[in-house]
Amino acid sequence: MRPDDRKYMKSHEWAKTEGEFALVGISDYAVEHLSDLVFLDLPEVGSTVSADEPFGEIESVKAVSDLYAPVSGEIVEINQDLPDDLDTLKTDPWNAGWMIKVKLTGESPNLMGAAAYEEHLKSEE
Amino acid sequence: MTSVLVVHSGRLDPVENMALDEAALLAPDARLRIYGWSPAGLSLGYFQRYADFADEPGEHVVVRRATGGGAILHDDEITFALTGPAELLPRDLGASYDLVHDAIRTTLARFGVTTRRHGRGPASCRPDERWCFAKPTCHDLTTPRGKIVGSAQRRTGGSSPRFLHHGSIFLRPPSWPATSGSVAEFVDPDVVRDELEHELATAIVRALGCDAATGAEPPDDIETARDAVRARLRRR
Repeated sequence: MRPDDRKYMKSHEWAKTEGEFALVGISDYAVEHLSDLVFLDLPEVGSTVSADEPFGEIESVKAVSDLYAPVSGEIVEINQDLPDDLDTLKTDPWNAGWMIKVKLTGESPNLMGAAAYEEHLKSEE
Repeated sequence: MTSVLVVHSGRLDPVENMALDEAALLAPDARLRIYGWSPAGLSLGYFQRYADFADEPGEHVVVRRATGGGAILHDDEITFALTGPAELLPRDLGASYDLVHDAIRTTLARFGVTTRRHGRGPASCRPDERWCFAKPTCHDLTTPRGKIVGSAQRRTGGSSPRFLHHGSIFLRPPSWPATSGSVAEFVDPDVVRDELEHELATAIVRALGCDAATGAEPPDDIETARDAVRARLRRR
């Protein structure tokens, strides 16, 4: 069972809300299926993200994939070390592998809890 | 059954080629664009920087692909851009490369061009290797001389996930890397070029389980997308 302290997108990003802020990352399922991660591009602090819109890009196996924001708001912090140490996403996608911290103004209406996300993963297999 | 619009674009300017491919990624249909390059192009993978290739010798236009991977010198080759809804390709990246490459391999074989799946090594040589053709990955097709097909993808998500799969099949090897494989190792490219293009299109569309419909690029949405993409291609 994936952590139930956060919500998930069908595209495998997660958001963990802490007061007026949310940490955003991608799930272990996404990391496993992307495999061989080589580049990660994150937005700048101070920029804004919109729920269900791309906020970053990741390259693996010669494929570039968009990362989608589960929440809306201003980016107040990014995980600066992550692009240079993408193995962190494999070893700890839930904590050390966070990507951006957002000051919340809203969230996607399509987010799922952990149980629903597990069901979604079964449908993807 | 999904229909794939097959467009034989001819040899176009490198910027035009990349703009049309990104336009196709934005369009709602499934499309296979097959084209050449005039003048020659140097395409960088999406995460590569222009500054790192500023001193490359030769007459070519430098562009950025929307897809990943390493840089390619495009001269005498058959290039294709396959775009469509995500469900047309296997979700697994390696499996999707193998599907397309198997269609290419069997088609090339009918023209006397013997290739095989490299089958060993990493799935990607990035970021250590900056040239796409310098070192084959496990999914790549190779001839005795070297890698003959370069491939890379972009995948979008959202409510209508889509993909762009780029492929470059060398007819004659470019000036770099010197170890590239090519059709010219086996047959005269000028003799087989046109027929090979059409056979490749048929085989790739069939591998997707789709029908092919040959035609021209839809003009309306393309022009709008071209303008937006041209600006972004030169941004980094």
